[in-house]
Amino acid sequence: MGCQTCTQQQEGGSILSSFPDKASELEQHIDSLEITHNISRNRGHLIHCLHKAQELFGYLPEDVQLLIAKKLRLNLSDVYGVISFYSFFTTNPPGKYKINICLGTACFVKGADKILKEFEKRLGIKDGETTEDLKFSLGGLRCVGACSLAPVVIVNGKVYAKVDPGMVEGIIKDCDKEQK
Amino acid sequence: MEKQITFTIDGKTIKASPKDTILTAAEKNGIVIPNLCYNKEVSCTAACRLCIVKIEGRPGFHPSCAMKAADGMKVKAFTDEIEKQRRIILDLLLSAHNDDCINCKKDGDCELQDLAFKYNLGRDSRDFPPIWEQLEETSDSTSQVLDYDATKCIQCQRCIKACQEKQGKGILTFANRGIKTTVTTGYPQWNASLCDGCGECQQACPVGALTMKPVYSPNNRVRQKDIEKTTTTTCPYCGVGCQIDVSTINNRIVKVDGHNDIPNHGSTCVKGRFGLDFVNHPERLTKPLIRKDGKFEEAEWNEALKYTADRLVKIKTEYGSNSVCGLSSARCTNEDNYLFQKFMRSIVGTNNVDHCARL
Amino acid sequence: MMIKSLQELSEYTEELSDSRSNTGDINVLVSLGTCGIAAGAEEVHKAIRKTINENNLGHRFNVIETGCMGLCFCEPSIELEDTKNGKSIIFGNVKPENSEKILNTDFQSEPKEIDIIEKGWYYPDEAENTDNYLQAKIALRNTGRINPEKIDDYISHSGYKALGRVIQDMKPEDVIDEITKSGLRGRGGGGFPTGKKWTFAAAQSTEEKFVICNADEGDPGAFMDRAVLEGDPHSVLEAMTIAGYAINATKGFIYIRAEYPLAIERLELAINQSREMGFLGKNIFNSNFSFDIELRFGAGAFVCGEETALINSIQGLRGMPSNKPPYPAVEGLWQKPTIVNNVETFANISTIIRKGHEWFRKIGTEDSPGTKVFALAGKIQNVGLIEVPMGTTLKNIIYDIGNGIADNKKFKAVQTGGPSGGCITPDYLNTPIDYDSLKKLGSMMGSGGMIVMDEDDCMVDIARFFLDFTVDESCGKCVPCRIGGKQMCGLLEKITKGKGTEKDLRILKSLSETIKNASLCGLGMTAPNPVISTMKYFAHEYEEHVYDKKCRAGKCQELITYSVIPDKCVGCTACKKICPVNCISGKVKEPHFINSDKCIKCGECYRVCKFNAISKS
Repeated sequence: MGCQTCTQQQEGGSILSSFPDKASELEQHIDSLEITHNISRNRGHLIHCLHKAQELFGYLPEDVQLLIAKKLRLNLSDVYGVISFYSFFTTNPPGKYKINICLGTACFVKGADKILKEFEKRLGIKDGETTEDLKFSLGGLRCVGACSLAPVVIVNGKVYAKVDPGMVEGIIKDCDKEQK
Repeated sequence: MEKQITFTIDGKTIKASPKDTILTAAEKNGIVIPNLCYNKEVSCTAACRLCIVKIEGRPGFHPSCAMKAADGMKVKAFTDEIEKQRRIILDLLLSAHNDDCINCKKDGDCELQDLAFKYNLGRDSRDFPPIWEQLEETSDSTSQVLDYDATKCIQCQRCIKACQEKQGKGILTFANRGIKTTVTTGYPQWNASLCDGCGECQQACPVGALTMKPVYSPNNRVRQKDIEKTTTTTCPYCGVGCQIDVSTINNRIVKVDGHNDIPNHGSTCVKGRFGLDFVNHPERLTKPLIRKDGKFEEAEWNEALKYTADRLVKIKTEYGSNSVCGLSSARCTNEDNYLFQKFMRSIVGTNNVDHCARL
Repeated sequence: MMIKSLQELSEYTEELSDSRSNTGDINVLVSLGTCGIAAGAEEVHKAIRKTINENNLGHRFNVIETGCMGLCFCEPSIELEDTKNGKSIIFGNVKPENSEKILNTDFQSEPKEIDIIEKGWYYPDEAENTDNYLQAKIALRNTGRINPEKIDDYISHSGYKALGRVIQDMKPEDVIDEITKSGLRGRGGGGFPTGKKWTFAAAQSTEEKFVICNADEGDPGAFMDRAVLEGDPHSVLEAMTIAGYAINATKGFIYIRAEYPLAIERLELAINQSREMGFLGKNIFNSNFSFDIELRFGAGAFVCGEETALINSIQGLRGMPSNKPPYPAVEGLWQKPTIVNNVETFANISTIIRKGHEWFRKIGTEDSPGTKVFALAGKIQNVGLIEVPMGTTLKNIIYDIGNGIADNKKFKAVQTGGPSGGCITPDYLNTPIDYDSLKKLGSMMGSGGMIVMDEDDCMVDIARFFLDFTVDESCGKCVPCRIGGKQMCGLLEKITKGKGTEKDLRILKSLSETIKNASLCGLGMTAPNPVISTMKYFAHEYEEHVYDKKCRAGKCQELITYSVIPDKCVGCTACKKICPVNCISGKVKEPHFINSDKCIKCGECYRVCKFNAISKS
């Protein structure tokens, strides 16, 4: 047990001290919001702040959560409860290549489940996981609305259309090539 | 006088206040509509859906805990159709609940167990296969005084709401969503959180998900039905004077709950709930000690009182009243403390009197 | 520049059309929505621009970057429009190298190697339907026609005229009256009368009220809201402001999915432009009415499309629905009266105000006036976004607009309403579609996703897919949805694996009823719909899975038997080599044999066989 300020100080090697620029950008961003005495109204900024933080750090580790909680005068439980509810937020560092497979209905009827399985097989990880070398993370995605291109795979924003399981190896190789 | 409303439940006329929900009105009239997430001390959740009823003129089923009773309403609460839904809901709850009742501290004191018994939902009578083992939920027993067993949790929110609304702490929340929902403090471990262990949450828990660590009987597991006697008394700690229910077996305290009355309405703090272990502590003073030749020695009460009175009189005559100071204890009752200050002021004759209410 | 009155607005509109006459007569509309961009529309756009610049054709052509035209099956698509005579031609599947040919079009003869796409729609607010078009665009009237990043484009298409009229000439109750009389129903799913919702909120006498636009389009296979926000953001802003005036709210929120970055970008731009012109902010049209709009982002939770969950999410809470009543119109965002309408609903508002409720009622059916946008996807030829009058038959949609089933397969069912809806079979193709007819069929309008399925789709598997989705997206608050959904999914899985029993079918039925009856929110109540409707119309498929251990679509892996057709097998050994469990035997150039006891049904042999010599049954 202990108060939030102490727990924060104890964690020396935190992501906030590793990236002071990003940390101060986040703080400034939150400060620029309209924070009033009304805590329930302040809380309305929470999801927005989490988006901002994840954009900066790639994920939402505990000390980032604590920072946001402190700034918005919330409990950590308020912040964590929200993070774990929404699938967009993650508390684990993501892989360098985020392979997302659209699992919307149109993609599903065109075989997206097979593509996901093929990726799982090739990368040796399951849906929602990241490879140990932090190179690939694999995730199913809700409908991205590109149903005409179904099935769709998106790797770091790059769209692969009309994918079949045979193309999976090529997509992984594309990432390797890019890295070189 | 407050206006009364009249409506019917399954044909029976019910009189209630306009503030009543169907559920509370029924309860006041001796009709218990099954429920699990309802807790009259916190806001309505309407999550367990066991208390659903039908209301004439309105399509669908409605949770009676959330529906205000209204004049002339015709409510059906125990038709075959509704009972069938309840049975299915209970069946579902049991499939996601670790039903190893033999090993559960709440055996015999579990609202889910009671309902399962009532609806004849033994393992052989259920339709749904157990899935609680597949869910891989995270339990947490790092708190010094509480245990959270996620496999038993039924996600009723009573703990979360008790922490937020009754204690105003907001330590607890849900983690994840859907079938993976569990209760968490948001920290990786319970003991890293700001939880002070008041235990309000476990008192609200209808099942064995949140329980007290066996602080009073570390070597003996105790269930509710083992308790021999429960005594309602005043908490010996601070000046609030909370009412507590002290449960004992063989004259030893095994559990303390908040008593639902003024001033605390069922709540206690961590000390009131878990701090009474001194009562049976071997080092507890049960006899007065008098220092003789630099050593404390046990004495009889009469001897001790006489010794104290003699010394006080002597000091007062030799050095005056203001050379004496009285320090009283917050762990005594209000009446004791009143008497003490009266004694100091009128008998000893000094205003040098203080009290350790700053616990 | 600030517009202070209707007078100033019409003067400004005239100014715009004057300045437009200086540019070319031919509009080149390049569709730059998310899917267009993904298909390569940006390269095409660059090539067109380049061709125009290099050949100094700027006096002739006026390139307009628009949102989605709805022709997803042939993206990138380009429309050429002759403003002098109203002629137009649409090119599909355009490549950058086609740009010269496209610009040389005479609007009649077809240039080779470029697809010409038929334009099957008209704009009811501008003209009568003289060509008997099946599609009528009201909500999508500007999407794919104007540049969404230019407020001037919107204004010259009668934009903000309705808002001006409302504020200058109408009382709030008149506005609500107009909407009520128009019979407009919520386009987000339930079909609740919009006017009624507004009336409830207007009747509340609190100081603070809110207008929320639900842009958390989560139905898999539905993307109409994204198209509107990307292609015509101002129409939503204008409508929200009108709603604000009608119920006396001063603040609006658009709750939008974070997965729609382009829509967010364009909305932000539109809000700023709108503020600069004085359509948002203080004293709009020089009146006492002030209104502003802010964006709020979703974060990947389908349930937040439910209005109470959405409100909780805007408040920074977990997106768990609350029990209704109280309804948001009485007690919503921060306990204040709040109306929540979806994007498409709002996209209809300003046209209704401009043209009047009588005009609106002429389109569609008696109980469901107006049009509905559908996202047509799945096994259909022409995947796309369409807008048809209510009452159009499914047959018209699938065969006339969608051009039938892809790959010459047999049509099996169409799934409407996403995970909350149900399947409709070929028997009901002639049903005119509106809220009530779909409900009668056991489906629902939902947000308008329409997934077409063919003979290769197993209905039990489809039901399992949707339940899987609901289990994943269930908030976990109420028991029937949280555990019931999971158990239901387990039962369906068991059936698709050939392990289902008669009892399972019975349990499935009673469980669906309980989830439907006892769940807390709309998501839960409608979650069993895919099961209920497939069990109703495709009972034989369930029975086949359970009793015969067969999947007629060949989708359920565990129920498939692979075998070699000896007559066709040439003995190439390809299957033998690929088989991971070595269950195929046979000599070179002789028919092979699959040992079905050892077979793990991975389907690799079926995939590699070049001679169609492996049968799957």
